[in-house]
Amino acid sequence: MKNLRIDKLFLILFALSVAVATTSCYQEEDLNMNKEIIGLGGEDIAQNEIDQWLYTNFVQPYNIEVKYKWDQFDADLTYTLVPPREDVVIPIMSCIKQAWIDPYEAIAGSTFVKKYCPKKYVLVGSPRYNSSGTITTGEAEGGRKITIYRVNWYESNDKELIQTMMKTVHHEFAHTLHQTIRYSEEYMNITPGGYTSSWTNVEAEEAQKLGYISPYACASPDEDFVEMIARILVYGKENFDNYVDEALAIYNDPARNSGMAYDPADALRQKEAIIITYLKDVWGIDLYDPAPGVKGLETLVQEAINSICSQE
Amino acid sequence: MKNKFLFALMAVFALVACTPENYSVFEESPDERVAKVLKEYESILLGSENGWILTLETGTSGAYNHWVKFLPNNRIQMLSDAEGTSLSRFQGSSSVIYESSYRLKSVTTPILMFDTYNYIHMLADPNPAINGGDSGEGLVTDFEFSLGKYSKETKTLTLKGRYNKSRATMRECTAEELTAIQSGCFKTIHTNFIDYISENYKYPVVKLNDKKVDIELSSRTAALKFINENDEIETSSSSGYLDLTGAKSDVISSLFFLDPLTYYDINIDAIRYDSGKMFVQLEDGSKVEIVENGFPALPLRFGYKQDYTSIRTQPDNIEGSLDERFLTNVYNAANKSINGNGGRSLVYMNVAFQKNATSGLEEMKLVVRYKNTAGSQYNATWIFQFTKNPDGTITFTDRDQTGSSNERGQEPYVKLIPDYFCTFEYDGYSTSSKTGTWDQNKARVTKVTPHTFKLDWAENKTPGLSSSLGGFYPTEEAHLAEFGVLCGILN
Repeated sequence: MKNLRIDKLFLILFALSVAVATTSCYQEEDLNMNKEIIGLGGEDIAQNEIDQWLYTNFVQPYNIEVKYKWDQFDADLTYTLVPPREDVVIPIMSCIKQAWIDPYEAIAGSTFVKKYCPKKYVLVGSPRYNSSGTITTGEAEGGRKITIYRVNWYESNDKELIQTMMKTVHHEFAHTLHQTIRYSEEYMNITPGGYTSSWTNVEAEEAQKLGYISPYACASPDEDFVEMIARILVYGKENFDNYVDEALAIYNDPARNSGMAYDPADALRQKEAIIITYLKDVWGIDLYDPAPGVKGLETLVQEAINSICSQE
Repeated sequence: MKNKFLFALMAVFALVACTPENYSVFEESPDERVAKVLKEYESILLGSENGWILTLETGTSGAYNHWVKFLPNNRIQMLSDAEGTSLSRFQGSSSVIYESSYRLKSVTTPILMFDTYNYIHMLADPNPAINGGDSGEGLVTDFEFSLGKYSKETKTLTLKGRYNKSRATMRECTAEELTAIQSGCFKTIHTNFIDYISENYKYPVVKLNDKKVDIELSSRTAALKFINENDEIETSSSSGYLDLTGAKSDVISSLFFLDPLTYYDINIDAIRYDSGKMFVQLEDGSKVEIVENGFPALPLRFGYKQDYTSIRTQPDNIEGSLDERFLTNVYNAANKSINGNGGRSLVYMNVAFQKNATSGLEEMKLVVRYKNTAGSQYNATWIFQFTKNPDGTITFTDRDQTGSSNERGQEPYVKLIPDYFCTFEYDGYSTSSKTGTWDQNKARVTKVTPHTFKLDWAENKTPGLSSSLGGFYPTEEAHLAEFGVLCGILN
């Protein structure tokens, strides 16, 4: 009995202490609602001429943020990279504006661009050197953020460099378009056998013989679709026509056509036709000039690139 | 009983767990404190009127000095001392001010980053065309730093690179230093240092633990070369930075190492210049002079399959280095004699160690190259047998011609040269192809006098010649006295 009583005593004591503990902690908190939150709204960095130019040309009209100042969290930590030279930022971004935004805007209108454009551009001074010995010149994260590498190599008369850069920009934007509204299923059935995850091992001629515009296009139907759009726009229709003719020549050449099961030129033309229809029906965009004197997207992009490269 | 104690314990905890007062160690919130620290750093950076000297380590090629002036609105101006070391892309970096931006930010610690391109990024650039580093690596350095302590006494900030962990310091630049930098000393301290070394030293050595040790010097790195306990050549190297003392016209900058240069238990902290002499400065502050040795302190490894396998002696090319006795009594005498044979003359002589393909024995091949009056050049070749002696010397015991008419025809005129290694006496010698084949001539040899030599470095006394010289030092006094030492350029 005695034991039981002591146990009870302890129990009561415990219950009491818990009760005290839970109530005694209440106190009035000094909540100063007017206290300033430090760092709210980002860092306070002085704006320079470049920042103002970017604000006027990208942030204000399109809500596109262009990051050119080094930020570890925007760069890939596994690679040695350096920030851009300040003097290339405006030339690079005006190039992107002229050869990407302006042509789309002229045909599809400013609302279209504002609605679908990626919201962030990150500029990196050097290329990204990969362990495979290749370099990366551009990449995109989910259609939202586009990273342009090796901007420090920019020279206004280096057409190849500008085309490579613009190809990345158009490539990524085309992804946004098909992710918004899907292209026809037929596209995937034109050259279904050639898609491979090991596209890096596909040689350029092999891709051509299979009816792809580039080795990268062999990665998947989506990549194929956007590579077609980007390359036709950036390298031009004439270049594409030559590529198709060359594919046909290989197909017709007994010395070179062994193992070819279908006509790659025909495949490329089928893909082109689907793209023309897709852009027109879905987005109201003419890829090529719809009538004499009326400029299509390809003409506008080509004119922009040629005008950039002819500048001193 | 167990339960009781448990309850009791919990009761005690419950009673003490609650401290009703809101108690904070700091008066301000973490955000406020971070902002305050950054403000402090900013005022330190902006506070140095003459800017800062930023010394930055690279993983590949020593440390580099930068002059950095922090301006309001996140701007900086920069100069670099990279120009002094033959990197073409850095041309002008010691004199043309490059402006870009910087940022102070808190990322777990306060950091300073140079966030648009400047000279400092050229060192880190992964493009090998910029800085000569490995593709994708650059010179393995940083442009984003964790900020460490600021010492008011030395006016120095300690930094640490965030990507490659490069060490760096920023020291407030004095007015005097700024004047020197503005007049281009970032370039001249390097060019003067390099010129001083190359003008005053061909084979600098320093005596450590009573042994001469080779020391290689450049304006960002230095290395000691010596034979270690395992009889292997060991290289100890360290990288560092030049101070600005060399901005004065009659002074050469000192090179301070980031990590000491070590020789066994000796640590060397710096290469110091003092009144026309160069010293290594040891850990305890004492100095040991660097002296010109004329040839390397490392033993010469000369022979078949060694570091060097041959020497070439062309007197015009090694003027001042070749022993006068050899020149007069061997080379020039032979040249005069072959001149008498239709105006022929010597071009050079070459001594090479090789292995005989048939016997598998090591042998020495002597080539005497000569030309005729038409200018056509020919080789007269002798093959020598030799023995290696326990004291490291070698003795040439016999020699043969190769069967070519060149040496058969010319031996009577240039005989002094093959005889220098192994002297033959003939009772008659025929140059005719019928009666003077090598077998026939060798049968008439009446006396063979072998000669013994020590092979070692020879002092390079030829102005403007950077090649290492090796020599055959006769061990017989009479031979040495008459014919001297043969030396030539090692290959």
